[in-house]
Amino acid sequence: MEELTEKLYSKLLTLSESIWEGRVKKPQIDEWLGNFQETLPGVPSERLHVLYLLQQFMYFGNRQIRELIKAIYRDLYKYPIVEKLRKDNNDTSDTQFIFRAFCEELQKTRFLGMGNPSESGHYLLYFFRQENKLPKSLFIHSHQIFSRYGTPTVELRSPEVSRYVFIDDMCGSGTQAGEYSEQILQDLKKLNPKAETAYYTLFSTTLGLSEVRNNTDFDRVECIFELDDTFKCFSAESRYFQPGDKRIDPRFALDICQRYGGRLLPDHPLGYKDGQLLLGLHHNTPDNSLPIFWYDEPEISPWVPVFRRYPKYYG
Amino acid sequence: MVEPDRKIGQINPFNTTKASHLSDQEIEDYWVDIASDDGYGFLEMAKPTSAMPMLILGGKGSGKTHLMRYMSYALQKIRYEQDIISGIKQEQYVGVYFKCSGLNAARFTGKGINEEIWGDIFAFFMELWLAQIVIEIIIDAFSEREEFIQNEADICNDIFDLFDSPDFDRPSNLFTLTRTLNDLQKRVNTSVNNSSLTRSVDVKILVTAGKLTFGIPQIIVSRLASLKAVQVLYLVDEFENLAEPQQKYINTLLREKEGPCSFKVGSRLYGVKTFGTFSANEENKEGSEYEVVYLDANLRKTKKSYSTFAQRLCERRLAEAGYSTFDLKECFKVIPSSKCMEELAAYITSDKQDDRRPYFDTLRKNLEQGLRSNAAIGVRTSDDIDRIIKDLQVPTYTFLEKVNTFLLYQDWYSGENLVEAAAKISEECSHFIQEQKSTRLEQVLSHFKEDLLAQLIREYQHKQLYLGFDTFIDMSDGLPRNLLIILKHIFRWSSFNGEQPFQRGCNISVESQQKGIRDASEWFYNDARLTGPDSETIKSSINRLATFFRDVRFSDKPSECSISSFSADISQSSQRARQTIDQAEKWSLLINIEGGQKNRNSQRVDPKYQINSMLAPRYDLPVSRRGAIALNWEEINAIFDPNYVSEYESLMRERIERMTAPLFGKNMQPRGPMLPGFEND
Repeated sequence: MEELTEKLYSKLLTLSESIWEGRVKKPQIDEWLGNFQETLPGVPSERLHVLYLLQQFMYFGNRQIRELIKAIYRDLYKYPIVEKLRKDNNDTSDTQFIFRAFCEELQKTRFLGMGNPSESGHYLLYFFRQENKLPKSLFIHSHQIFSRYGTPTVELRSPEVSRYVFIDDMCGSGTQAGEYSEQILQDLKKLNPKAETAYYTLFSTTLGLSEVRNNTDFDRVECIFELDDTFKCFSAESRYFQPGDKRIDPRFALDICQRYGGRLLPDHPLGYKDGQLLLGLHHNTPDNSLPIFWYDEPEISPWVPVFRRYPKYYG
Repeated sequence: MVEPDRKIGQINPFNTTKASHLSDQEIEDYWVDIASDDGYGFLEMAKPTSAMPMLILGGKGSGKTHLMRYMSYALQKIRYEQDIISGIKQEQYVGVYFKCSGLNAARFTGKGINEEIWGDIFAFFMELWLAQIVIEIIIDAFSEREEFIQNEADICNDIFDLFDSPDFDRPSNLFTLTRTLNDLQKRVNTSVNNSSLTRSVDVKILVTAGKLTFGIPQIIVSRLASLKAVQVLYLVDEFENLAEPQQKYINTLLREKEGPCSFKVGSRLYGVKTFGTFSANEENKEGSEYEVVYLDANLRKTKKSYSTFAQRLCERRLAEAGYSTFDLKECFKVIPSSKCMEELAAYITSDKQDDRRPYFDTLRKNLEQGLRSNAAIGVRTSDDIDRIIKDLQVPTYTFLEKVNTFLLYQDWYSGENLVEAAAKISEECSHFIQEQKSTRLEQVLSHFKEDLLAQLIREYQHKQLYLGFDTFIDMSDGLPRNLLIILKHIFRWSSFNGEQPFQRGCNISVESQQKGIRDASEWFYNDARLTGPDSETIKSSINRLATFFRDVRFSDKPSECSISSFSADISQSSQRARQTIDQAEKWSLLINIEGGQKNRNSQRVDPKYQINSMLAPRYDLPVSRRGAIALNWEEINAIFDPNYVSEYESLMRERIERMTAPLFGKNMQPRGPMLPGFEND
């Protein structure tokens, strides 16, 4: 056991000084381990099991997030437009023509953050503009889609806009995209049925993607990093437990996460809507990840997080 | 204002450990000379103004590249930023540095082409390359100077005349000449690179080998008065990357060297594949054609100087990274040594729930076995065993109990009556504590203290302790890079553990040092990355040797103290075994100890080797070298020759049994009737 613990700490050291940007070091890890039962001889160790899960935690730092943001613009937005432009023009290779036509399309596009302006979708927009060198004029709030002043009916503020792109960091269950579709897209489509609406995220679960694709009015729904069931910690296809290592018992690990997670979030012990993710981002940890990693509401339940989540307070 | 401190904590000052990864400015910034009372530093060792060519040999990380780059023109330029010509005149040499690894020398062989042809092509390629480096240095240093402007055309003409059959126009200036030489080199490259397809090399050799290498410096020195009495010093680094025929070419240059040129050739210990030349196949002889400096051996020779050098090297690294300077020894937590080692005892017993003494448990087991085998003189009943252990007990001083136990094993080995011996030890121990008179405990501690501590640490199931800056210097053993590697890993762990390494007031914890040192040791073992068919044999041999040393160290009565070395008359062992030892030495896994060891029986001086101290943590061995175990040829073969490995287990067991209670290698008959409960082993 001691040998495995040492091995895990060695890996955590490497993660800490590289991908984790030095934000989680041993004192924080040990403090977090203090949430769990002390290891006693002869019984399976809770601390060893959660340490094992921690060294599988996927953290995306500032640099990686910025790269993913570039990829959203390049791979999900720009390339499909360029591809269509070429196809509509006899597969032209005329780079000047393609550049001009793309710029026209870009001018008719508006980028929006998903959710409240204080939420991560809007936070990402700032970097999205920076990294992709885009003018400020292409970015609006969702209320700026419509014009409600001086006219009795709702109108589009910029009728020339033909494409609305909503950006977010994570699509877990698709709930928020569903709400946006009902609240905004239905009105938008009534006013301009030809307007293309897209929902692009850095990460999405396969379930979330399918939910948004099938049950909302978004025309295009894509993500950069799709999290299929292998990323679900305790699914049958989980990538996190290798068969053959008898020192780590997946069932015991599940029991720990359910037991402690149940105390922290009784309705979602393994993450929002049973997300079971081991995922953290530079700016926040999604609530679809296991709560034992991120829960940080000491006034409700005392708990020391290792990758804290900044919760949304709905007032 | 807070920024610098934040940066200090984030950057590991020991991250870059290879001189080839450093910029010229960093080579200058990190340069530290070896401190010596008689002013004998690295440059005195390397003698850049000496006309005699020199091989600078050393293990990986001994500082060859750093030293050679320090002598290069690029560094001279940094040293004499204001006036490089004055600097060159003052230093009396100009360093022409190049690395053999950049040549991609493996291209110049095979592909169905005669090796003699390859030899000529390679020589031509080298002529063109070296000529460009020398001319570029001259342009860089002199282009603005009047004497150069006035003589440039003549220099060009003279160089042009060195060619036997030039197929290019006479150049008007040196810049044009370098471009021409570069074009010629590209033509050679293209032909060589395509030779695997064409199965031929279409190159016209325009100049005789050596003509440009020696001729250009001669022209420059004769045409530029400022360079009168200046030596053009070719610094050939990473010689080990050349194949044998290519090394022969360099050797030939060394042999046929002409003034004002000389050579320093840097190579790993194993890197010199031949001393042969193309000069009537003569071999270069040390003392006649070249001299040798063994860099790490030289550093090892003067422990005090090396220690000061190593400390200054680290201080310089820290200073360059923005850390304030203070005594590095204060940066590391150590467990203070004392007569009765109370602090160490407290450290190893702190996590133990009971008061069990593991060394007494083992002793009791051994005495019981001894009683059954009639191998414990004076022990007749289990009461005797209780009495012996009671006599050895010193409840307040765990370490002294361990020492007492060891003394009893010594007496046991000598055939003493153990009941009486225990009583005497008890008495001596009281005297030792009260410092009344000299006792056997002092004698034993003067030799075996470190080993007994190691045994105690192991018996309490702790990892061996390798703590403190002095220990790390000892471990690096003449290879400065190893010290930097150790500190790099310790820094990583210390930072991860939430400490502020190398900042005032921070004591790097025992845990950070332990983990860092183990990672460094593993790195050393894995980074050895031995190549060639013998690599596995060498690694397995080192494993066997180290395992044997460990078994000796943790035996009941080790025959030698602080065992990490062996001596042997290697000439008696098999050729394969000798070859393995030689290879292990060249890869710095074994260190050849100068002076050897006098054989106790024959008075013959046998070669002595120490296992590299960087491996000590991997095998729980001591860092310092004291005792050397004399191995016979059978044992040497069993360790180092794969054909005799099957004999290793039995030969080593036989050795270790001689150090193990209850029989100490003797054959004893079981006594007649046994006491109840002692019938079986």
